[in-house]
Amino acid sequence: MSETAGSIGGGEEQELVLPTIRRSEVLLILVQIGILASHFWKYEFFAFAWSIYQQTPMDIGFFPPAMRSASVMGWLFVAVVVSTAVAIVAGPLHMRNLRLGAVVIQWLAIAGLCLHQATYNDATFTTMWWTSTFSLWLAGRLRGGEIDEPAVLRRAAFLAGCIVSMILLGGAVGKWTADYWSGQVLYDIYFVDRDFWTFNQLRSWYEPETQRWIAIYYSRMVVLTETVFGLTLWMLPPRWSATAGMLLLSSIAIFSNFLLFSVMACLIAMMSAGLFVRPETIEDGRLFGRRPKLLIGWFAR
Amino acid sequence: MKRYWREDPVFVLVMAGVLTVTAWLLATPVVGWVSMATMRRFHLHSENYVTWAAQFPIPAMYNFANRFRYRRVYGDDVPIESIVPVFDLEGQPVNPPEMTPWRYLNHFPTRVMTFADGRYRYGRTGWPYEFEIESRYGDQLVRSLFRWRRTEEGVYVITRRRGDATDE
Repeated sequence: MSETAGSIGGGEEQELVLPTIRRSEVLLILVQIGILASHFWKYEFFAFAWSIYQQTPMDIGFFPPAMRSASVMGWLFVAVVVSTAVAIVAGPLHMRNLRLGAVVIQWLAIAGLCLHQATYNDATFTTMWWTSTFSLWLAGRLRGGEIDEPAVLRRAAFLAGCIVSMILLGGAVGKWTADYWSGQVLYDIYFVDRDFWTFNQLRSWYEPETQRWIAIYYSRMVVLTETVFGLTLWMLPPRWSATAGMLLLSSIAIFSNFLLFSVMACLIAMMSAGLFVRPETIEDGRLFGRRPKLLIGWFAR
Repeated sequence: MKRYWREDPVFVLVMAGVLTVTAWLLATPVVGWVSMATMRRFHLHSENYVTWAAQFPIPAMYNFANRFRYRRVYGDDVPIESIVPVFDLEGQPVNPPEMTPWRYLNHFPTRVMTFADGRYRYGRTGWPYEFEIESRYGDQLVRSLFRWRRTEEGVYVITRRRGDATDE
């Protein structure tokens, strides 16, 4: 919690004690900043959407009244902003119970956005919800005083890897079908008229027939990458898992659509957990203190 | 396991959630009703809202081959030959009297109607539309037909005209 930084003055030595912050506390703040970045990345779109939803109320006969109300959506959006801001500042002020309460509100508000008629489609809220679930666990662990920090950080890295693996697998399984293997779906979504630098460049370089061939291999690469990382990312050593995960998630947005950073930012922040594990504690490999290893503990090494 | 539960119950619960969702995902290609449940979820055609809502933690980015097409609905007294085609700034037809060609789109294809850009695109005309939406996964197919209209109170009402789910 604190460290001796040195001594000052003459005569009787006085120790200057500087407050320090635990690695796990820094990780939690970083993850909260990631959630906020995801939330605001498409701010312009949400501002536009907000005006549309107010002007054009919609009833599709499936959502309960509260879940199709534009004002409910607005309040949920604000609740995420406020609770995340509180969670970021409450930790360094040692108000850990307040922080845990803020994360609970954040978790519930994001769940509300996942279930609302106006926002259910946005994968941003799915990834934010899982990142918030991770935060809920971590904020709970950090609520008490003393913790076995190396074990908590190993658990954090392992949990982050498992969550991102699951999300990648979620993307992969729906593509295990001929329509993606043939490249047809992604050709129509991206190559035909998507205004993004990679696809604009390909359209300027190649004829449509060649683009179709590129789309086939692009699509297969996406399916295989999501499948391989979905099945293996969780079992890599913490630092390898973090580095590979962060690079992969960033590359998806850089090469497909910058707006996807709204989906990825919170996951990238969460995956950084592996970089917080001190190298000298990795060999231990145990997820739970001095207890015997879990079977999965072997994979967490 | 009791020890782990005693030491960190929330971690155990979250891991149980991750494993449950992963099991569901791995079952998707091999268990028909699982993939059908997700496809129905995409079409807002689950048995009820609670069944649909219970699936929200399951990530399903870019799942299935989803596509849609649409047409403006005219009265029987309007001859098709008399309709002058109108296109928006993105080159999309605004008043097609017959179904447009199919276009693919990623997750939750019903978003063409419910999401902000779709509401803006079709809502500003005030005209009635018909949307046909289809999701395909292997031999399974879910197809929905929706009618979109604006009431006098300015509310956009979307009604399901047809919802088919088939294992071909």
